[in-house]
Amino acid sequence: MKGKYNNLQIDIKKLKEKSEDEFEKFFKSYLNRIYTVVYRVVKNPATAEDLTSEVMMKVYNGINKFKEQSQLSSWVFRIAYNHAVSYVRRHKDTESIEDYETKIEDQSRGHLDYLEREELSNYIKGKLMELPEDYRVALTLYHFKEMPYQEIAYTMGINIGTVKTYIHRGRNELKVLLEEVVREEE
Amino acid sequence: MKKDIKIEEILDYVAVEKAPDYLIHKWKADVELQKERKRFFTVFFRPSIVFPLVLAGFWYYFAVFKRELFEYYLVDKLRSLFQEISPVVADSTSTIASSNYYIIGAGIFSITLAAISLLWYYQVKKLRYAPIRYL
Repeated sequence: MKGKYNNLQIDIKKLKEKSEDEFEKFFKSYLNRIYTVVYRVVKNPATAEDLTSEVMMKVYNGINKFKEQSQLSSWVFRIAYNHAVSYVRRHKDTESIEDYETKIEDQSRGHLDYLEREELSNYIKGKLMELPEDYRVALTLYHFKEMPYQEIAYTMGINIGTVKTYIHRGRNELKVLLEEVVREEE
Repeated sequence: MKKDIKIEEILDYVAVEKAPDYLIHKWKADVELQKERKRFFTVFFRPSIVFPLVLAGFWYYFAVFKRELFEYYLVDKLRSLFQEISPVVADSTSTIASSNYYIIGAGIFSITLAAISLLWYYQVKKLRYAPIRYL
């Protein structure tokens, strides 16, 4: 089940023996992606940082529950995803999340003619965050260096068909959201 | 925006967010903290320490705050039990219970009880004839 997206050599046995060096190696490689999964769900950087930290401890403490039936990274992403989703469910009425959503939207408005690559990516990130949660998580995971559908399905706890649907719909909705940019192109 | 850039490529580019590097250091600190906490609980919250203290606590609670109940069982009942066997013991319990130093005495007794229990548990190898060992 080795994918193109996972080239890091991690000794699972050492992880299960709680080798901090091995964990550090793993976290250094996967920190950005764990954070991204959480951030795509909660949409707030400060919350995402806190939750990522908690996820890292969960992974460290629960590594012996990893049965090696999937990629280690997928197992970790699954923990991150579930942790973030349960956080959002618990804090449905939290204003700060909505505030940040507005902030992203505000930032994303601008004159597209002047957008440089960095600004453009920020713009698209803003639009990506406007997609429904499942779509943006599936799309994000898919673009983690071509993570296989099977691993995405495992991470999100859904079947492969649904993953494909989410990615397809997410891409289409994103295109609609980016219509403005496309129009500018033409 | 250049025309040759496709959404797929951009998504590849924007897919991964940059996490703050301090999270690794925070994780290390959290692990250390967890180890310390575990060490603390392992050392101080073992049954051999907790039980004597809890026992002494119960003793002190009943001796001081539930004095009527305590006196009923330890003075009246003991008095009737010891009356025939040893009137001196029976009398001394009532003397202690009615004394002005009763609360202090109960506290000292509770602490002594806990200390002897701990001494018994930890010093068994060093003090072969620890007083409470064979009780």
